[in-house]
Amino acid sequence: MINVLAHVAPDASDLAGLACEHLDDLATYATHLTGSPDDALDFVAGGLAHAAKYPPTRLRQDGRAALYRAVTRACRQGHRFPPRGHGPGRFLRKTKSPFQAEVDSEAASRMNTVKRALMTIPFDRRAALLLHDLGGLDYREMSRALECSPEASGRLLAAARRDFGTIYSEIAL
Amino acid sequence: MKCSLLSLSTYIDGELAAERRAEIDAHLVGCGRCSAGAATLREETTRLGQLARVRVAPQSARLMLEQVGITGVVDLPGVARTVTPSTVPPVDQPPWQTAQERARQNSAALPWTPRRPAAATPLMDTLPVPSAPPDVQPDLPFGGSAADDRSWTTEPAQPSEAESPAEVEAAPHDYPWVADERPAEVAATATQVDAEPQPPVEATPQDFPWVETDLPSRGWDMSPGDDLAHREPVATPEAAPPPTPLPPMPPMVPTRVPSGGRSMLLSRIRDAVSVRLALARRADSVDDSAQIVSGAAPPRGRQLPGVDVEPTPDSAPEATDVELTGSPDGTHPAPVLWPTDTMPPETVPAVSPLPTPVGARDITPSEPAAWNAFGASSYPRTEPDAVSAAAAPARPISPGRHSRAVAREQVGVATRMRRALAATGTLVRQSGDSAAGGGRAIGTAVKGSNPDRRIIAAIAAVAVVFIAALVVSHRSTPSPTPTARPLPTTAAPAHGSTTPPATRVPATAAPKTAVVPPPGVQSFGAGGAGFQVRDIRYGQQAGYLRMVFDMGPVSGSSGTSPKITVAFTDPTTMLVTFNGTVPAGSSGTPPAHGVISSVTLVSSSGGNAVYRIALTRAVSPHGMFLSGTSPPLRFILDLH
Repeated sequence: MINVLAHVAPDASDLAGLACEHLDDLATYATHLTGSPDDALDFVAGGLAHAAKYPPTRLRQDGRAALYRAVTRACRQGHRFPPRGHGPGRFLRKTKSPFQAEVDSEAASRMNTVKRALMTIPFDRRAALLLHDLGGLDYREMSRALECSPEASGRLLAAARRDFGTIYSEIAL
Repeated sequence: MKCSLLSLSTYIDGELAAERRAEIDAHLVGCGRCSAGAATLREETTRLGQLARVRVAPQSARLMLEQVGITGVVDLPGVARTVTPSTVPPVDQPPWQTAQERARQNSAALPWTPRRPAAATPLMDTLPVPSAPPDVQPDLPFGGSAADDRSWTTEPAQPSEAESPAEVEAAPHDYPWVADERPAEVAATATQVDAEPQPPVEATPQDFPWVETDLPSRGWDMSPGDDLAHREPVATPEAAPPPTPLPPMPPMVPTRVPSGGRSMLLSRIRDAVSVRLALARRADSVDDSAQIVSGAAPPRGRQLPGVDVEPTPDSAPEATDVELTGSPDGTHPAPVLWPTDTMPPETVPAVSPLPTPVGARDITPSEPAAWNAFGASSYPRTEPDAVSAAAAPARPISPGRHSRAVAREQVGVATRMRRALAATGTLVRQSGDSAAGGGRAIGTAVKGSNPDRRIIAAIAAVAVVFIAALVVSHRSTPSPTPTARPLPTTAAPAHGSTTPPATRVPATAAPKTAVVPPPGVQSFGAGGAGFQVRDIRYGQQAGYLRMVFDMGPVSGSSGTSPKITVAFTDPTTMLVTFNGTVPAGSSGTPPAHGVISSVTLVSSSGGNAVYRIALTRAVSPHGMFLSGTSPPLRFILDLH
């Protein structure tokens, strides 16, 4: 079927507004997805840079799911902003992330077991778990963020819960 | 009903259909297992929801959004999380459905920029089907200026004067073949897919009610919507060719795309430099290891340096001659190449609505069919002048990197090792059964200055040293020496009459791990009677376990020593029989983790004492008598 619907170009203000509104949530999601707050901000910036360069077509329809999708792809593909250097010289340079974030230290120390269990499950399942339980996305938004169908999102989430519950029970004991 | 983890997970997420949810509600009332599972899933959800939150500092947020190129953020630090009033239409109301309302309010005509300039064009049903879609080559000029005037930006369109409310309302008719030919339900489905999912009219028993059954399973994938930005615009009627059927067009020279800014200028400069460098190298830098794939080809008819090809009778002498003159026998006549302005009248199209493209006359007549509009260079193609080529000094041909490396034998370590192993195998095969021949071959190999042969010699030397070390270590392995070596000839003459070799064999026994088959029956002593086993002691020695039976005479004893028989019922069970001997009250405690697991007095009737010794592995017993000690007689049994 030929898609003949018109291309609705998103406005720059749409992306800016969404990014401002959900920046903390994106940073939280990326932090627990990657396990590192500093890298998370780089990945968030990488996803937003990609979204700014190639605006999502369905930004108005998808809303925050488009941003979560961009950040998920950046975390999966290691797309950082600013880009990390190449070559052996990068091991000698100590780069500091230009972006700073504040993490709730009490909750960070309290949920150490949860984070350890979370980091043991595969990336897609971890992303599904965080998108739903931490980000509050429903299955349809998850499908847009994970680039799959809503059914697949549900299956990913169920499998992630099974894995997480098993590993968490073992670690907590 | 079938209650699975997927169902429970979807249930606690509230994503189930009402009917299915009611079923699970009813099931959870009576199923404790599923209730516990649902409670566990809820706990996990709560636990994950309590993860630490991250808050980006306002300065970092501003810096990030500025650096990534997101514009439109106004006064971010002050109102860091204030969302600018967005003009996003309601999700359930696509913007094109409100075109009439927008037109009535005299606002922007369309929320997007039209891909083609709006013009009054006839509908599709009045047009003949074009032979070639016009968007196949969207950048080729068709004689009009529409291609240059099109706007590909994503900025909102400015309302034009020609756009009246009626035209805006008729905007969907820009794609008349879709609106007219598609069935109504298909059109509705397409609109629903690309706009926003709608709940189905009828509740389905599926877990995901928003999935339409008439759509493919991946109907929600990203492909329909997100690829729109990268697709070519759909052909519109105004871009269609005129109704007059066109004759076959001659190949056209692509026009230069107008520069699109600084990045485009830099790209063009880079491409131009690359092409110039490739042209500068030309055929002089071609050797056996490096070929210029892209860029200008070497001149025609000129043979590549370093490549000697003997002309065969079947090979054509010159490609240009064949193309221009045809086959000698006349079966393939030479093509008649007409200049553009002198073409015969029957081949000239009667109506030529398109002007002759610029540069069409530059096409070399010798290759009318090989010209590729997208692959050809925009630079004029000139044949090398024979005079200038002959006058040009022949520059030395520098060998390529690979050739230099081959000449210097600069190959990798892995390659060298592989070659060395192959050479070693060859030498071994050549040596055959004669060691002298092998030695001569190795000596000959060592004499050579080839580094591979030196490697072979080194490997052979290492192998010889390894074998020698193995032989020496095997011969000089220290044997476990017992602490108390028996002296049967001085202290106590061997009384064993039936198996003297067993008593004379020194204790330099076999290795510890050697599996010794159970020997036969061994007898010791002179066959006296009236003895008593007073005590049994154990001592773990290096490599063996020693059992000491302290014996002494009792009333009515006769002889110097009783007869002791050592036998095996199986490799791990040994029976020690003392004839004419009273057993001891206790069999002692064998050392832990030793070869003896237990010692049991089996029988003590008839003046005989039988001890059953359970072993953890097969052993080789060696027994002897020691006399003249205190107690006066000892029977020593070493288990190796």
